[in-house]
Amino acid sequence: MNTLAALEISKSYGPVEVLHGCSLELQGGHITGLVGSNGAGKSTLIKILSGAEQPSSGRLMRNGEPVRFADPRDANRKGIAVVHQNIAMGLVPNWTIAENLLLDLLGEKKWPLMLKRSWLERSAAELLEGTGFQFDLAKRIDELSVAGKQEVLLARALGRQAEVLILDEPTASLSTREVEVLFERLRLLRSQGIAVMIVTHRLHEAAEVCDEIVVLRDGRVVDRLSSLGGNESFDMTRVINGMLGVQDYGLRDTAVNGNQGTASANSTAREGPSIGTVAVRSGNKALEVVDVSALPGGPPIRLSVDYGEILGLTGLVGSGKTELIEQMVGVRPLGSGTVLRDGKPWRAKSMEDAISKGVGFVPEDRARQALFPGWSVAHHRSIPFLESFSRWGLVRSGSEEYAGNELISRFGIRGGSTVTPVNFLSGGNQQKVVVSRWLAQECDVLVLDEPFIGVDIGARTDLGRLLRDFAHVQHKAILMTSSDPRELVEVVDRIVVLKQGAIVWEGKATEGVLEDIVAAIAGDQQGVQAIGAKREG
Amino acid sequence: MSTQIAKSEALLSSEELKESPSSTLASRRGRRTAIQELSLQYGLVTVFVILVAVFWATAPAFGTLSNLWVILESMSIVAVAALGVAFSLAVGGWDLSIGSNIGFVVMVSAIVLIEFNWGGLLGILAGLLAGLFIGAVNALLIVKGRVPDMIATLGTMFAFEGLALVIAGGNNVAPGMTLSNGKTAPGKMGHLFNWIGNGKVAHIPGLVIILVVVSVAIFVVLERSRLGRALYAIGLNSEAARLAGIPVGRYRAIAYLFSGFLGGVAGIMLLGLLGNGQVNAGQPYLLECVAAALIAYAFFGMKRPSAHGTVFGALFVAVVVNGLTMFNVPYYVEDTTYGLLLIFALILTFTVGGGTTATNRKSILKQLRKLHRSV
Repeated sequence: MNTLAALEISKSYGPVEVLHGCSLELQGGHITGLVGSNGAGKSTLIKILSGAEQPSSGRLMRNGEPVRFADPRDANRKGIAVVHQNIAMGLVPNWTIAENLLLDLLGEKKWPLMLKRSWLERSAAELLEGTGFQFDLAKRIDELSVAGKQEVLLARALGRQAEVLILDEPTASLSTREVEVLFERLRLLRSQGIAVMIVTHRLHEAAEVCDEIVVLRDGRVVDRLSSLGGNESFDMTRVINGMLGVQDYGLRDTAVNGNQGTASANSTAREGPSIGTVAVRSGNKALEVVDVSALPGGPPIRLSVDYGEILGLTGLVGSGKTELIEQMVGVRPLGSGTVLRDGKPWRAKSMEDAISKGVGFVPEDRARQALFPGWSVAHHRSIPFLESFSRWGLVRSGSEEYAGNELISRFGIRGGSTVTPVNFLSGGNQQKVVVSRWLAQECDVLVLDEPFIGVDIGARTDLGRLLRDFAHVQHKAILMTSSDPRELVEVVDRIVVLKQGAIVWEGKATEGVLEDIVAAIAGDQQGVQAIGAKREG
Repeated sequence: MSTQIAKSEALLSSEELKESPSSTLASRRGRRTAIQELSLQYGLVTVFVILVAVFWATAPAFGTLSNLWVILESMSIVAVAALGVAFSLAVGGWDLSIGSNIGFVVMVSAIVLIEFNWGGLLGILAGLLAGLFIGAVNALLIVKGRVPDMIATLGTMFAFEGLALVIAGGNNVAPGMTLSNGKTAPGKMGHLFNWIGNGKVAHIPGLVIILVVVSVAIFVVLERSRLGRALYAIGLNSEAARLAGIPVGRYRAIAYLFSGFLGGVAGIMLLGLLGNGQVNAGQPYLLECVAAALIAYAFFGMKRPSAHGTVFGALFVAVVVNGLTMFNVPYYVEDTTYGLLLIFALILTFTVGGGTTATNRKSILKQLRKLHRSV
């Protein structure tokens, strides 16, 4: 019996536990889908299953026997192969297919001293035997499409007698047709008794090809669904409920699917601003998009955010949230349509333009897009507004220091003074610095991309209150995205749900709407058209 | 993975100051030991003080006032040009063309002075413009042409080294030389350039005065000005800089213009010192300048390019070379000395200090990999 099982796997990085007792089993002849939103712990789990990381506790079982993978190579010898999302990682672009197929052998020093083409082609052909793959072996990798490169990786894994195949986001950059071809291939492997796991955020694809779907949230396996013999379709509402954790929050009295333990943590999180104090729309549009496509070639969207309100944008990964707001502030080129600022057409070419128009932006990935390692709180406070902090081209360190102090005291930033490097602050306090500088500078429109990622509960509550004050008391416009509708309900006044670049739901943010949001995300294309028709009508 | 780590920081309370710098940003090796921290902060300066003490005690000629002026004079040209390199390092780039920049400027100014006889002021102007021109070519290649910094400046390094030879017809340009039309060159070095090379104000050599003026100005620009702040922001995290409204392309171009301009100043200083336009005059300077600018990373554990660190780097190099000369170590050992000094400073920064600030180290490695691929 060909199986790979994880039993009660936990993983901690330092004091932080990212996986809490996850169990799952991959069986030969089955395709398992692993789904979960950003930060659910999918990649950590894959790393453990493939030997790239060691679990802090729990065990791996291979064919019913306990097993330990010293490193990915060891796991590979024991029949586990991983095809990573980043295909380029495993291939040498200006080498031939044959050379790439034999790359592992080079690492194992099994290449002959004098390389002959005949040896390469013979060995590559041997490797491919029985895998069902055929290639023009002399072709260079960089002449292949993404799908072609992926096939080479698959073939290489199979040629090395992989029995368990783990694919991380295999469809991320494939066309619909290429996805079909890949799925056919996976079904074929399934029939050969290979255990396949795909990690994906495209739920409809998981539903199409998988026999079993495992849902991961906040480092826990929260649900496990199987379609009996592939005849039964999955209950997508249940999958999305599991991913977003709506059930244990808003709909706590209904069935809870094996996600005990998070409820208590969540209830502390909700001690923030009370839900239900939804601002009445002023009708005074601060920022508006007309006929802008969130995703290239996607449907045109019309959306506006008023002064005095917080608009929340949600949807799964790939729904186009980030793409839409980045076009609105001008850090991503506008594909089509118009952006209106205070009712006037406006085309920001850079963040410089946006700032001069009173538009602030907090990007999603704090470390990569917002922080300067080693810089102090005061430096971070002033950098987007350097002009107003300088005279005769020189930075006035006094006023910079003053503003840094003001930021720390007014917005409750803990863990350091103005001179403390931000990387010594906790994630929550880092985020407070990055967000509150826009509040302190009083921009008119603030756009935030996933502002609560990597932010602890206390800081999240604080940030939510600050944002609500900014919009409701100081009468500014705020637009924020989050893939967690619960977070949005807690903070925003109005919610818009995106799915594959289209608006599928829009409404006031009250506790009762979570169910509707899940239904909108789970709903099929007909739902999209129905709403489209309603909006036109 | 980093997002997950960050996400699960949710489990920690916000008041808690992290034991180690946030794992998303800093090295994961954890804390440095006290010895590592000390050697990172004071290692370079301590070694410098020890070297000076040893030279002073063992070589009687080392500790004299006149030798101090010799050291300061010999470091001045290197320091000024290295400040240019510091600009390119600040934006996370490189300027390898600095040596041939100096050589090219020497030739251009020499021709203006000696062949055209246009006088000292125009000689200086032509030199500065020549330097700026090289900076502009670099900026154009790197910012508009999107050629990686190191390769682009490697290209201009060869191009301008060659061009200096071409405009000089392959020969030194010296006063009284015979021109191609058979006549004697009309011009001479003139008072201005003689003063730059040999003049003194209250016993202070002209070269040293220029060094002080330039370093103070560049210190203000890098440490105190809006421009400097923006340049460092770009070098640390260019994406974050862009999202903070900094026009990254424009400022990177400005950094290379500064580099070219300072190369021009250094070239003029060198011409004044040499008294004629020597072929390949700039050649030894690349190594010295890069060494000085990179030694700055280890200056008081700053881990970044800086004006004061760079001037110190140039001083360090000059003192070591001067001291070794006192012991009759032959001149041809100099290059090895520069190389060893540079390696020593880099070990302090990277090995002991666990790297420069994360992004900068990555950008340096990236550049090296790019160069490796291109060769």
